Amino acid sequence: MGKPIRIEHVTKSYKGLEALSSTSLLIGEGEFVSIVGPSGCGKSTLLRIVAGLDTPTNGRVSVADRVVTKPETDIGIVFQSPVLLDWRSVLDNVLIQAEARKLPHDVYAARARDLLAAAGLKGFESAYPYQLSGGMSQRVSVCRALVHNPSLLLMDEPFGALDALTRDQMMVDLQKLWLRSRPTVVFVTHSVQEAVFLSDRIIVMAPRPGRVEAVLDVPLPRSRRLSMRGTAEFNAIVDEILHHFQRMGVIRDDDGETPDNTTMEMAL
Amino acid sequence: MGQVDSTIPISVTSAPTWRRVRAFYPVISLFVLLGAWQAGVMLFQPAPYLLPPPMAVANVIVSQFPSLVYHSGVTAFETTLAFVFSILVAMPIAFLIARFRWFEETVYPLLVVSQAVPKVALAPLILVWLGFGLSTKVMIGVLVAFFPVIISTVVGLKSVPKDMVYLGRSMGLSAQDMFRKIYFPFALPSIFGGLKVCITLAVVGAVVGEFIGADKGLGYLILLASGQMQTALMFAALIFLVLIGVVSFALVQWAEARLMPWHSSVRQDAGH
Repeated sequence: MGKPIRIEHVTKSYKGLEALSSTSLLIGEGEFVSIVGPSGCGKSTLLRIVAGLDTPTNGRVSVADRVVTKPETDIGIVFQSPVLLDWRSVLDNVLIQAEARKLPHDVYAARARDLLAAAGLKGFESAYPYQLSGGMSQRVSVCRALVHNPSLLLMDEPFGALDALTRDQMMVDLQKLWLRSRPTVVFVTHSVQEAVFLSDRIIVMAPRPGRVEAVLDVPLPRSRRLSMRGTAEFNAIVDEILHHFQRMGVIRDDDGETPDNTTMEMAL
Repeated sequence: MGQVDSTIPISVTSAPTWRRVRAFYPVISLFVLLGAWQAGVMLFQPAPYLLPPPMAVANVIVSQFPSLVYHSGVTAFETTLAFVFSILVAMPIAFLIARFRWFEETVYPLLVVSQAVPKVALAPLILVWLGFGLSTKVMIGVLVAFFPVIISTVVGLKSVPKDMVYLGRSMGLSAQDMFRKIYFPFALPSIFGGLKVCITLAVVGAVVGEFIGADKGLGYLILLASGQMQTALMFAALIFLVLIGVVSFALVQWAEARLMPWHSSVRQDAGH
């Protein structure tokens, strides 16, 4: 089960330029929270600060009431690129988590095989990363983030580089894997649909400087199915988020004018 | 779809055959070259001390075989030592450069400037300092060969992606494990690029060392043959030198393939 995260008045400036203005959030234990927003809204920065990989200029983050001062290790991270270690087999890529933490190899090898099978990678345990497709590689990296049963799962646009069909499958599989152990998840994405499908709560962020624009609950029941995306409840939430982006000027509903921001297609 | 399927078995069976045929291409061009050489000598009849015919070189190789092998052994030994010491010198320097900004800023410019010095010109100085023994040859070899290893190792270590470093830190890897499990294996392909340059330069260094003062080794043999106008022997020594270069390079390549079968430079399926 996940740990709660408390983000208090966190800001981040790079060379005097404010990347993230004062942000406060409470994320409950085992909650699945998505952060959506256009490029430059500081969502990846916030994620790194929660992970202890970056320090806030002001404010503080605590995980389970302990202030984060160094990299968190009871954590799994998934990046936009799979970041697999080319010199290790699929199984060994997942098992590096156990190795790094000096956990018993046999127990975790069994667990890793089980996770890989659940992620549709049965039979690929001894394959090398160069033999995998983009979607398969990202599945391996999700397994690697979960194998040590972390309380916290941080995902930074994990499906951003995948094609639309693969993304759909990944969403379903991620939900399934998450429901097994219920870590607290912070999921950064450009995709509104992805956020609504996966989340308990959605943080909408605005750019320049990055700030929280709105927080929305997603009261849809679990486990969710892809067909749910056609329902009125689902689309009402999607519309509400898009409305926020329109209000911010991130997207404009005007065919006569070219949008100055490339996030339009990604947001849709 | 059917079309695609039918081409697959053909390409699978024909690719290795094709590769076998292509392996003979360099052999063919070598024989053409030797034939042209023989024909040129027969046609223009140059003095044997200017250009001996290939058959004369072959005769020398047969008659002087034990001596050629002995001198080759000496040069190969010096080359190996120069290669090993180049690695021992270059790797720690490269690690420090990649790890510590202050070390990079103090040492790197000096290293780059030092490479502007023609190392062959330093050879007589090394001779004065270290004498006529093995150490002079090895030292010159190291001076000539260590720099590419530093460059390639630094480049390899520095190109570890930021996210990979984040990943390692989030797993709580110690600095030592971070190096062993992430930085070093990631840099290995680049390091091998440097090692391949290093091994060829190590041969050059050893021969230069033998030129300036030695009583054995292929460099010494070439000088000796030159003094006596034994051009065929010079060619024979050169051929053995080439063999040392090719074999040592092949050994490095073999080690590369053994150590990183996953890398695209080694895999059969990659490239062309």
